[in-house]
Amino acid sequence: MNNLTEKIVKKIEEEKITPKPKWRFLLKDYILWLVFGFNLLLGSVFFAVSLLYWSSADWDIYKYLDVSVLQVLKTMMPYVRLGALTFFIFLAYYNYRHTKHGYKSRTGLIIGMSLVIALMIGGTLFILGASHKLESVLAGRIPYYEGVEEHRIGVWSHPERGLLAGVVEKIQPDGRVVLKDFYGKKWLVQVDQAFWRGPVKHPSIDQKIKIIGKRISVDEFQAKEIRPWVGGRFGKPFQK
Amino acid sequence: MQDCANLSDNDLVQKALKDQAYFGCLVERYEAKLYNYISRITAVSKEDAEDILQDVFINVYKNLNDFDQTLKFSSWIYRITHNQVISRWRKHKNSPFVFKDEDNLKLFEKIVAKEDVEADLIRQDKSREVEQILKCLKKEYAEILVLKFLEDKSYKEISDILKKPMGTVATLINRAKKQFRDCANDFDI
Repeated sequence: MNNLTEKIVKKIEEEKITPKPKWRFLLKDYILWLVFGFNLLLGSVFFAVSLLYWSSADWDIYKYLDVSVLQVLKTMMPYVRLGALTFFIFLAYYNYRHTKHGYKSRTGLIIGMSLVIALMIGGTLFILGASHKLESVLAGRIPYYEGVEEHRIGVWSHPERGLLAGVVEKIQPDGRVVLKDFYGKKWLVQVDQAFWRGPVKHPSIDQKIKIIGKRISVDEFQAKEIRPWVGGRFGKPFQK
Repeated sequence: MQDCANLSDNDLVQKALKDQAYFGCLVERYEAKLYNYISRITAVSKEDAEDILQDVFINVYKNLNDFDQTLKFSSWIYRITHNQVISRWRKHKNSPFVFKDEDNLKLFEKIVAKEDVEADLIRQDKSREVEQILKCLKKEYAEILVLKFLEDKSYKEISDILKKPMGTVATLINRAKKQFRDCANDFDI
């Protein structure tokens, strides 16, 4: 035994150094895998609510607005949700990278695979109808989280551009409808020449509707097309 | 002293977990190789290199249960040594990579020199110039060239030591060789 070997063995004996127990290393690895899976799941949730967002968007309204398709796409992009998806995919990558064999895979492959898994789980959650529940949980727990409903209100509250939405308060004998928009303003809406899209073909009290048309005075609106509040022309069907 | 000449590294790890005397065999087996490796990748005195080496072996002993049997033990112990040296760089702001003359020449022969060049001529004339070349290399390139050409590690072993994917290792080696040749041209060697 040479000097250094002797010195090291002696130090181990004198300082009573012992190998750390195996369970500590196993636990660390299990925790990394668990956090990796949890991040993927959170990423999936944000993709599932992004799908809900897109499916309930009215993709065809750009035709009625004086804006480009690109501007509509920008309006319809769920930035916060996609940002959260990206964030959790990055965290998942970080955790995977620190697992025992995580260094063997290329960054692109880890991120790509994580994204595919998150999209598949998110897609499945959406198809199974869990997106609504997840959306309401997220909206209830994350401060300043703009839900699908709030976003839709924002898109449809532009009477100057021909978009109006609200609740039917009263139907007048001449057929005109008194509509209270989502900011509390009352509008008198002419609906006699409007096309009713979706399952409902006439107005009723407390009905929530979206209207494409033209503002004719400060509180009067001419409807060209009326749609139920929930649903879009593409994706989720209109609901009564 | 235990008789361990015929035992593999993995057997020694298993035995050292039950009887620490066997750990001495692992220390003896790797002491010289790791000492050389440490001297190649950091500029420290003999005493400091021995201190680092001692810390490495204590760390190895503490983490024996973390040794993954699918790796080569040598890759694992080189990884721990590499990490120990890096943390020392950070702590003491050591300047890395002071190559010895024989290392300079070995690298030059393997990367730049043509086969028909007389090795003796290179030995006599080029050592100082090669030192200049090595100083112009990026740290991560010098690090990978040491493992590939001075420690004679395979791509798989380097991947396990540096914890980088094999493809990245291959890319880094190619870039390092290219930078080495570019620097050689700049110095007109």
